[in-house]
Amino acid sequence: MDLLDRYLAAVAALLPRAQREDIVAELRDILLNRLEEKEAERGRPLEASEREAVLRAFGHPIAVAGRYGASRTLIGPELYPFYIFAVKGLLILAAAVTAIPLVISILLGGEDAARGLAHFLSGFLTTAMTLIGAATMVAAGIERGWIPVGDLLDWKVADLPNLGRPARKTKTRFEAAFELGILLLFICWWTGLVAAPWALIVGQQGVFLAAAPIWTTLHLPILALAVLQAMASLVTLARPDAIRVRACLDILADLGGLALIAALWTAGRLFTVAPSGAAGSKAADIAGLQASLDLSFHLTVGVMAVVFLSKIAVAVWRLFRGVERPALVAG
Amino acid sequence: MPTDADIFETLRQELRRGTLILAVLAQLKVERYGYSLRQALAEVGLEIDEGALYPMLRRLESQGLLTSEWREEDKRKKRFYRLSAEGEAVLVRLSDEWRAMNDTLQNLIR
Repeated sequence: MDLLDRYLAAVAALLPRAQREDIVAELRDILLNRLEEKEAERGRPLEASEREAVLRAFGHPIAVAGRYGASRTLIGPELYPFYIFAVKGLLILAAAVTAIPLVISILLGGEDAARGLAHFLSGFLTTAMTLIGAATMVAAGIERGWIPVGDLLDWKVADLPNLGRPARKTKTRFEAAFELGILLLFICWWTGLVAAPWALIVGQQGVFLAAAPIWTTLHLPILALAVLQAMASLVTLARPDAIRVRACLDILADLGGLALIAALWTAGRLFTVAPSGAAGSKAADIAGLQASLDLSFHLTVGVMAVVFLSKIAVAVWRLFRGVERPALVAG
Repeated sequence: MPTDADIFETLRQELRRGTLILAVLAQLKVERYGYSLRQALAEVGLEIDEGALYPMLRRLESQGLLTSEWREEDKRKKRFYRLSAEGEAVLVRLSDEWRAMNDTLQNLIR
């Protein structure tokens, strides 16, 4: 096999099967013309090094085969701005999910600031790279038509976040997409598919937070509620006009949330601040911290109950009216 | 940071990209194979990289603007391209567009 055959075989291996023979035949003709042109210039047959130089000048087999590909960009210029927007959001999300448990851990004295910073950097990089990798694969799939998006990118001005008016009342597609992302991440944590950020809090030296048994009892109901809420977000994202379906799903999710709140309220203590061999004044500090935690968790549960009741009332109203509130339509 | 020369070269290539398609279509009113087409363009002062020319020919053919057939010439099989009927119609429309743009730009950059 001479150099030309070897070069063409390398290109052929990278070409689509259906067009391979045709393209290689044409490339062979082009390259033979080039070689003959050089021979005519020099007035003699080319040496092996000169033939190689001609082939090298034509381009690396990967680059040559790439020119004949259907798509030459991983993410095209139309999709790219959406991809970058998503990546920026995911970076913020990665920073938040890495920093929040770490701050709690530092406040509880389980981690000093220097180690905390190191944990933050490694946790942030891992989470951010994973999320960006997933976003890149999804965007590349959309670009090639492997992932159908239907009318997802069909947008209305009314769907845009109302940045000039903080008292916005509607859930836009942007919010639904963000909510869906958070819920999917939560489901992955809750099912153990990815390491939970709160794993950092447990098992540190000094003081650590231990989850109360109620969380084990409620493991499946919480998972079911998260899946239901994710479905509601997905419907909002895909079919924002399906107001009654969205209202039904919202009511179901909110009723589930309310039932969960009731179970948590009756369970009493939700987290235990457990000392690691604490005694004396440290034990007293821990008791104080436990009391503060109990109070703040119960306050939170109470506020959430009010929020769920309000959401249910609004969703029932939407279900019977079949329309969004005026503010939703006006956007 | 790109230099002035880099910026100029990028802009020049962007300017040329669309016009090369028009030039290729115009040259294929008569049947040519790839190498002879490239030579014909070079003779009128339009150098075109082979890496861009051959994929462009295939794209134009897949769009129905060119037809092609394999024939033997000089004891070698060559792929000959020429304008299809649809390609001729598109060439007329693109030529009109080019003239209109050229007139406008002549007035602007005078």
